[in-house]
Amino acid sequence: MKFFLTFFSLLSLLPITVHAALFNAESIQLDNGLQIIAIPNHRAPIVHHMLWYKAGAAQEITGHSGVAHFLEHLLFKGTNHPERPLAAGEFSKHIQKLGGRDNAFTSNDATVFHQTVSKKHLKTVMQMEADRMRHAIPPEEHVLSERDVIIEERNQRTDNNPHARFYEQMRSALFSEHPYGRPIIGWSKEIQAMNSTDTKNFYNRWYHPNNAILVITGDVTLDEILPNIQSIYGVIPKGTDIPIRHFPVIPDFEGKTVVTQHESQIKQPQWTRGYRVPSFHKNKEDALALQVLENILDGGATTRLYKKLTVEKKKAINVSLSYSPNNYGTASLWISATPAEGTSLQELETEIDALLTDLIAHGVTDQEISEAKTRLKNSAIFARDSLSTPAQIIGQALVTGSNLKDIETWDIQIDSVTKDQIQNVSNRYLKTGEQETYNYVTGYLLPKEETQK
Amino acid sequence: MKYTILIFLILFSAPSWAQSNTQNTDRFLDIQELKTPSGIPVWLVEDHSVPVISLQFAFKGAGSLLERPQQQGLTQLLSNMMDEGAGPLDSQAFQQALSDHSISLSFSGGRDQFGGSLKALTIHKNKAFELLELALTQPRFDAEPLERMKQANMSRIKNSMTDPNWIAARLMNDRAFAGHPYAQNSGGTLSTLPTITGDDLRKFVKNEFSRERLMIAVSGDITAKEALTKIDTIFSSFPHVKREMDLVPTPLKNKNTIILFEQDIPQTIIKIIFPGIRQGEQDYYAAKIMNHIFGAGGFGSRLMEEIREKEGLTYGIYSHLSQMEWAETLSISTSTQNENVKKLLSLIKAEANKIKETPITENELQNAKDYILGSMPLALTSTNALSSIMLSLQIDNLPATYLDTLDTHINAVTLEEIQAVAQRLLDMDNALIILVGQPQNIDNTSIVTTLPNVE
Repeated sequence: MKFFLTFFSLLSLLPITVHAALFNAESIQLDNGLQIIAIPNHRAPIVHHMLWYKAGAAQEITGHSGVAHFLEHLLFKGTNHPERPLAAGEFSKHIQKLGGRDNAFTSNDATVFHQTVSKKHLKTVMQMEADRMRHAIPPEEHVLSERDVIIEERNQRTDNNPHARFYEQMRSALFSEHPYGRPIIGWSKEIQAMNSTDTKNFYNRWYHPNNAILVITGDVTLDEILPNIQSIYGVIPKGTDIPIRHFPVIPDFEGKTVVTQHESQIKQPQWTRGYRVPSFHKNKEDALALQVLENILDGGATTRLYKKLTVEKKKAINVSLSYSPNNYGTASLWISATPAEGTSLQELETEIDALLTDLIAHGVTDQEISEAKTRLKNSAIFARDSLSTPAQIIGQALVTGSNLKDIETWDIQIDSVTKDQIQNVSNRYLKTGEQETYNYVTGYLLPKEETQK
Repeated sequence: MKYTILIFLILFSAPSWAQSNTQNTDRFLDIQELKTPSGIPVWLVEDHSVPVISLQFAFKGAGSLLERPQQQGLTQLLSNMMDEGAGPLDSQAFQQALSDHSISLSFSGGRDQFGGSLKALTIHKNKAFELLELALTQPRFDAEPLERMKQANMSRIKNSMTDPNWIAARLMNDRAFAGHPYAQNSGGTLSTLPTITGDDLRKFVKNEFSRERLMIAVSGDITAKEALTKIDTIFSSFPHVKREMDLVPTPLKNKNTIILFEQDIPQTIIKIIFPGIRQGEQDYYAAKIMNHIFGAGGFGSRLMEEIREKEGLTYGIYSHLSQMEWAETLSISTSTQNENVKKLLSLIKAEANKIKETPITENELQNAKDYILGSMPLALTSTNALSSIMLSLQIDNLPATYLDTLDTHINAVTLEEIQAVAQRLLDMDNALIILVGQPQNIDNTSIVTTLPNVE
């Protein structure tokens, strides 16, 4: 059997040495501006090929939410490439025939197309992906039926699900007047009005090599694949006039903002708070401190939030905190909790606020910091135990304004976060109680109040 | 503990890249079949490419199918409690030890087996094996974490009660397997969970965890010698108990029935359940391929092409072959706006009739074979995936060489066999249909207002 024999060479890199790069990614930029990342992973004779466009829901024009995602769907509806036209639906079918899998996703900051195939089919996949960078012109009848599919997608993901509708409202409140406040899939009314002119404009504005990043991971090296990349992707002309991604600067709230949502299907109330905090791109130092803080507060069953609120005080069934620093614009941090039987959402909120107040007043311990850093650094090693995860991490970081060096040395940077920095971000971003202005929105998801009989 | 579910991969694959290597000695997956000094069988794939070790095991037969109706949720609760304190370590101390060494340890209560999964960095392997041994041989089942896990489960159930997909799955199990333990709610109910005690859990471990039921798969950065030694230390103290199950296979119940649970949502969740097919039956591989072409293949499958791509009626439609120890089904899952349910059901019926009446083309058959065989290596991309595949093979009573020879079986399937198996399986008049939502113009439904085995 082949692919378990030859990897001892990698072993020398494996111990956690401070100076080793996390993913050993290789990078180069083509003359037409396309950025190439190769991440060797020789475990199996397969490759994961991802094309990231630096344009997502946040680049939509106000009133036209959902267009980036709609376009993502339409890229599977064929091309009018002069030499290799492809009929609607043939893209995925062809990948399957090669024994591969493909899909795509849209986020606030990016639209991403990806395939996993046997190494021997990499060239074919590159050709197919390159062809639809400039030649995807879906026939009008497919545009309309695909819009119906997206209406069903929205029903399935959001409108059937009170938790999803609540989160949508929370985001909309937290990022009011900011494109991140729009649902990526789009508002229902705006989805119904989407048409091929909208998608064409978006496509022509953003889908160019100089606004994209190609990430290939698997049983390859950059040297080995660069000639094909050059001849396939390198010949696509550079796009002109690609707009600079620009976001409004939104002020903090002058009053406390609260979203209270009553839903007939809800049997288990939920408390949620979203904070606007810096992203890695906007403030690297704060973002790193927030990552360590996130892990100190919610790094498992023995860390602050769960230990205090669930194990010791029995006020919450569960409680979680999540912070994702990889946004091009500002980022958000979410705390979410389910109250214990007999505990009201107000009581739960008081407990969470008290925990945050204590954090701000007394800081965290050296031991908490050291444990959190160890968990974070180990998570980076576990990430390598996957074909696609390193590609996702690197792609996501690069489309949101980070550079490869930041990613490869992330463990070292995490190590350098100090107690003072953690104290500082706690104090600046997680304040509770009466303030001049607020960077957060608090939400209550509750059952429908019974009408008195 | 975290709600981790062991995903048993659908074994549905074979080597295409391996086909290009013509030597017969080339195996798709180099599984070593070993035995520990004390006689425990272990399957191992050594892979030193990442400093990670994964161990997965199962006690086959020790699943929720052993639960009495008033004990529903016992194995679920047991799976939550196995990492909540053992030996000298109480719940927090045990969790701290896992966390300090970045060890992932999780347990899962399935219908047919109780399983566990351990993943650790090589540098922490000794600690990981030590904690697994402690968890398995000296679990504490203390009152505090037990109550906490009960509360978490009850909250999960209340949350699920808003989820139309969960409701549809609950109704499907209740009706399809009526009269069999599979019909029960393996996640427990709001009234059974509070009554389960620490002693109940102890008794289950004592009576049901035996060497005869044990299956083990190890993968990653470890040698055979070391793996065998460690496994004996962890598992050899379990008793030898030979046990016969007094269960019989359960054929699909409530055929030709439409069950409706009304919920105020814009879209109806649809599940259609047919009798399935067992591994080992003559038509099995034909059924795998037919299922792929009909609805399991995603884009390119006939259901997806007709119902999503042409009609725009749904975001997704999939068919699925499922096999448990005592039952097997073929099911279709989809969803559509309430007003389109009738149209969608009639389109599914038309597609079922089409594949039964008209032979598929050679091209379709070849494409399906190419995908099934060609996509096999895609499942080998993580240490956990390797041990997971090996454990599934053992649970399904398949040989370690199964994946090496699958291509022979797949390639032998003919057009006629595909049509014959479609005729056998896709009988819409014999199906059980579950609807959750407010479907319009659907007649002869049997309306359910209270979910069975939930409250």
